[in-house]
Amino acid sequence: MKNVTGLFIRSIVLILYLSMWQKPSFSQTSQVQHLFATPVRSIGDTLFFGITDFDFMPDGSLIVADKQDYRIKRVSKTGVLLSQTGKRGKAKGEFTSGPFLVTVGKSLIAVADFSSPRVQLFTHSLEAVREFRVNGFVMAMKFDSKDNLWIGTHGGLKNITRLVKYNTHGTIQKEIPISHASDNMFDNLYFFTIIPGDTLVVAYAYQNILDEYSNSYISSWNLAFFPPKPQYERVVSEQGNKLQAPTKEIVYSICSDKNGFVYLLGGDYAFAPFRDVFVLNRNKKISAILQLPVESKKILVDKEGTLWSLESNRTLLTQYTVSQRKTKYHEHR
Amino acid sequence: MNIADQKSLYIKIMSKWNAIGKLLGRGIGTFFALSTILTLIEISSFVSLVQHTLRITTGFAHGLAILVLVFELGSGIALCCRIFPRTSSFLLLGTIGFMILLQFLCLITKSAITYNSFGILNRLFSDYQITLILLIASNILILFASSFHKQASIPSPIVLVITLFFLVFCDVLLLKGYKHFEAHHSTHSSDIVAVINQSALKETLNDTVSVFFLLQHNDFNCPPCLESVLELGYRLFAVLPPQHHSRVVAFMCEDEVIFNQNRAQHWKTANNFPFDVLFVPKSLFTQFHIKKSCVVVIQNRQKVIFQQDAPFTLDTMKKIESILL
Repeated sequence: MKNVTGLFIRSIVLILYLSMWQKPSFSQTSQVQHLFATPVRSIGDTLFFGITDFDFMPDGSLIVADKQDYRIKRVSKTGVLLSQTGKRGKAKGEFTSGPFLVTVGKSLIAVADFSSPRVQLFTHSLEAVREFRVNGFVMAMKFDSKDNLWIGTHGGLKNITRLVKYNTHGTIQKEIPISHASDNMFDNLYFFTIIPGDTLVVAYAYQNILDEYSNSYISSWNLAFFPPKPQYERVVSEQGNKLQAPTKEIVYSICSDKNGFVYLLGGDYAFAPFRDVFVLNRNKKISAILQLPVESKKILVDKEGTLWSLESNRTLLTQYTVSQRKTKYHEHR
Repeated sequence: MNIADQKSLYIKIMSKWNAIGKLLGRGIGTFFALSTILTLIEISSFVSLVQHTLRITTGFAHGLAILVLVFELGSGIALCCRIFPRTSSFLLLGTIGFMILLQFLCLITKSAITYNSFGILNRLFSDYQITLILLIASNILILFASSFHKQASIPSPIVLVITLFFLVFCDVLLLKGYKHFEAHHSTHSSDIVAVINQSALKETLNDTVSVFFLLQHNDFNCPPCLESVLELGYRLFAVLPPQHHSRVVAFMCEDEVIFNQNRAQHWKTANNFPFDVLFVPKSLFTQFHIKKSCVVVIQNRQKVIFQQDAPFTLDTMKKIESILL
């Protein structure tokens, strides 16, 4: 009888706990705006073979990491190929497994190889300058306002998962351990963006946590609407090892605009998976939800505040203008 | 003929029976000792078979495979040389039982294209023939169990008849079951070749040996997989004379990145892959039961003699080269 009562109480506690994250507190979401995305233009299609990342050049053109083509390509906003460089290889300016991440600084462009510790620096005219290697694999990469290159590393284990600040010569300036890294390699998959004031905002693919770092760890908070952890399933790896692996993603991409708003592309738990973009204001609250018409692989906001989305088999970059209409969360639902 | 004469005749016949049993025992011992040595040459295939069929870790599969092969080799040699013949015949029977079980599991779980239990000898027999050989060998070991004593005894005729009936019954049941599973669950060589023969790909089959890369682009998110596929391609291109380059073809499965022949062709160009790359619809790979990018070697348009999932080891590459040359 005691067991039954205990089980009943535990079930009630679990239901209450689950209902807390499924129905976020009204104070957090009552002022959520529903934004609408209107496509302006799409570029790419036959020009790209498999984009993994992109960024904006100072003149407004785009620099694209086309992993499938082993090239970085500079294209105008209208989709004209301006220049390109790279091929499969290990030499300077070549990519062993294809370019994975790209970020534009004041004088240089940094490109990380796929699943590799290798980072190459190019001039804005796409000439390879130098390369260096990080400890572990490169997970995320961005230049800050002082032209320092921040690299998020990942090596499966907790102690290799950290944010490292490099200067443009590839010398380490600072290292900050990722606060919510663990020895579960899935916990260590993260992305970051840099908001004005050179504050880094880190989002995890498989943890509902957002971290804030400046020159050290500042704070963490959770995202309303999302569960603390995704669903996990027991899987057998290629080597025959049994492990628990997540089957769903919480956040898929992160970026920010010049006003310090952070944009998160929601994963499987979003209302419209991989289409809902959650906009966080400087108070770390969701201030708006923007729904893209099609699924996205990556989002980025340019200087003019228009949103770019990587779509359609990673071959198309679509530019959206964003319009506003204030609505309550329950109306949105 | 009185009872004494009948008994004497039976003893005479059974003495010959025991002599045949001893001879067959030596033959089976030699065959399995030889097949073990040939399996040891291609041990990675057998380990892969054990691992994928029993779904165990690589380390455990290695250990188990080596243990089975040691038992098989030891009991084979012992039976051949008549050292502890009865014990060794039981040990060999155990390993044969394990292999029959493995073959059925392999068929049911669709875990491998080829059943590599006989190493190089696998190329001479179909998978069905291998099952037949294993069953016949086990039947002989059971039927002639009495002959394997150092001082062979004369088995009772009733026991012999019942054993014979029982074995025939089991064999028919197992072979029928095998045929049924092969028809409904098969991932075996006949299946893959049949699919190729029915499709437009049949022209790519060569009269001697063809090498097919069955590629799923998604697997290339694992850089060692991509590297090993390209490396094998470059090696085969280097060792094969130009007139034989058509013996190697890559089939690229339709997915979100490779969705037409142009994209498959671009993959070939961007990666400098030296052989033809053909785009194939996903349905074809589903028919193949391919779970991971792999390389298969097909002999005489009919039998897969080698199959290995990516990433390929240097041993795999050398083995394919040796088959081709």
